[in-house]
Amino acid sequence: MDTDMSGADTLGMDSTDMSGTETLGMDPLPGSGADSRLSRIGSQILLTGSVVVAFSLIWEVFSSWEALSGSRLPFWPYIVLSKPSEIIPAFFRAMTTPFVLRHFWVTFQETAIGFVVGAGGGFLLGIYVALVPTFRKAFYPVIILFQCTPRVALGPVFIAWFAFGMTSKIALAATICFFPVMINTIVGLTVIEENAGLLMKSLRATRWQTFRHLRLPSSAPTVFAGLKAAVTFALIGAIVGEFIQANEGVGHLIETAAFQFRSDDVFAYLLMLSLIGLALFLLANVLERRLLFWHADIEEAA
Amino acid sequence: MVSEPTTGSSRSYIRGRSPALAVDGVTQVFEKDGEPLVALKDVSMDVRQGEFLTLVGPSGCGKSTLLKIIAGLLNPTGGSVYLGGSAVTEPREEIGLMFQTSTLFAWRNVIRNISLPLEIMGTMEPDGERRIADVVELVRLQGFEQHYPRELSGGMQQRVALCRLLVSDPDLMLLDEPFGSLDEFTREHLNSELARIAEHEHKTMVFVTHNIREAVFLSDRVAVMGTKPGRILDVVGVDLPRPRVPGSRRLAEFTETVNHIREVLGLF
Repeated sequence: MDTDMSGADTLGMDSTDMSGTETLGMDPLPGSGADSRLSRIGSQILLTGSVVVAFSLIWEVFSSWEALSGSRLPFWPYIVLSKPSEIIPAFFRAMTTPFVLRHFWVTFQETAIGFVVGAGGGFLLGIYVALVPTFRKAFYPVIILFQCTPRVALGPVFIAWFAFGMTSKIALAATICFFPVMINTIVGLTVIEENAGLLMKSLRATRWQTFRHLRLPSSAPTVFAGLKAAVTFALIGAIVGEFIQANEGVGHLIETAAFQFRSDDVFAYLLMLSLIGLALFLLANVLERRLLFWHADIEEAA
Repeated sequence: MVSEPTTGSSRSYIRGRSPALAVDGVTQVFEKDGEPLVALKDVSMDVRQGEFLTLVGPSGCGKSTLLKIIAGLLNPTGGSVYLGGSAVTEPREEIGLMFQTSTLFAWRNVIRNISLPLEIMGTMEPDGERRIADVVELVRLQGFEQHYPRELSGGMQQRVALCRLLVSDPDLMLLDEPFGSLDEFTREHLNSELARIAEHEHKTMVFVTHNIREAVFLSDRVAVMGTKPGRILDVVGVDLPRPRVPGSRRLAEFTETVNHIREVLGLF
């Protein structure tokens, strides 16, 4: 035990730190200046914009090397790698072609339904597994095994089960996003602050009260992290399903265009997919900020 | 080892001075790496109705363990705790608890954090809102009702936790190093506030700290604890006038009591 504390009657811990203590229990509230936020977004757009422009420029220059200098670059795959000046018009062409949009609508539906079914199922089953200790013990290893299995490999099985239509793609999308949501739900509901648990115990809270007032709200940030991952996973599931066997959807479009060496179209479709993924991710982000405004890490994250 | 002076005969105290809480020969043994570890050995003490008693001692003396046992959150290996004459074997509504961490629910604003015990116990009706307004005023949190925990400093968070403790009006309040993670200025300020509130509410309080000055400033009596095994070395009465104000620390009795406790702990 530390006995010489230069006059402070504190055992084992020196708490006579005089620095940085301007107020007595009433520190000013952390500010959220709107100005600084605007300028932060501005500089973000500027930074990311210059990266994208620089990347596209290098790509364009490499692709146009023959026209510029008369000789081909030996390492540049001209046929399969279109150039930005062709991809961008192809992108706008695709965006305005009803035939293409119909395929996108199919993929979007597969992704959305797959996400709702998979994430919803993962959340509900996660609650059940987390709250029933015997269940948790029995199922957790199995869940981990499934989590470690590359679930896209189930694609052919689902095609066999649910035939070529949308159902097999929805099933694959749902299966892929089921596990991250379920695992995050289990972890979020199980791991609570020790003293918060003691507090509920000392208040003689019932299991239901502890679930509703403590476990469920404190699991929200973890569950949301799982949901955000699952959004992108659902899109992957839908596309992979279409690659395996389909006659509609963006996966089918990309495959057809690639076989016909229409690489500008391939990249245009890819760009559209990225935009769908981004839109879903941003939607999840907005929802998260709305629901988890109280969470300290929100301001820094995203 | 000095025996506790107020056991046995204390039950014959006149009303108001009777023991609200009796700890009777409590022993707690934990298992650590297959070896038994004696956290508390034969601890006995009485706390009178309305008394402010502090457990002070170095880390590992079992003071937090003792508090958990008194709260009914931990059943001791041996001995018993009696509150109002009946043995405490599980948490009770008349016992309130406060921790070193504020343990506020981040998703609830200040008011809804304070109302939590009333919601859990189902005692929000009929006068819950008035009761909440009263404790907010008593702890001086007016103007912060709608704030969320992350918008508050550590000191303010502990004020909210204190409100949450007071709102259900428990007979016995257990405070486990509630100001342990605060800086010295905030701690001294909140000590004055707690002394004022304790004098106003006349609650039976058991307070845990490793800060001797804090213990003397707040308490009617200080139970000094030692380690290996965790036990009460002595119970020191604090002969300081009430109300306790910052100037109380300048009195000769304050310094004498602090020094006496340091002697008991072998710090000189």
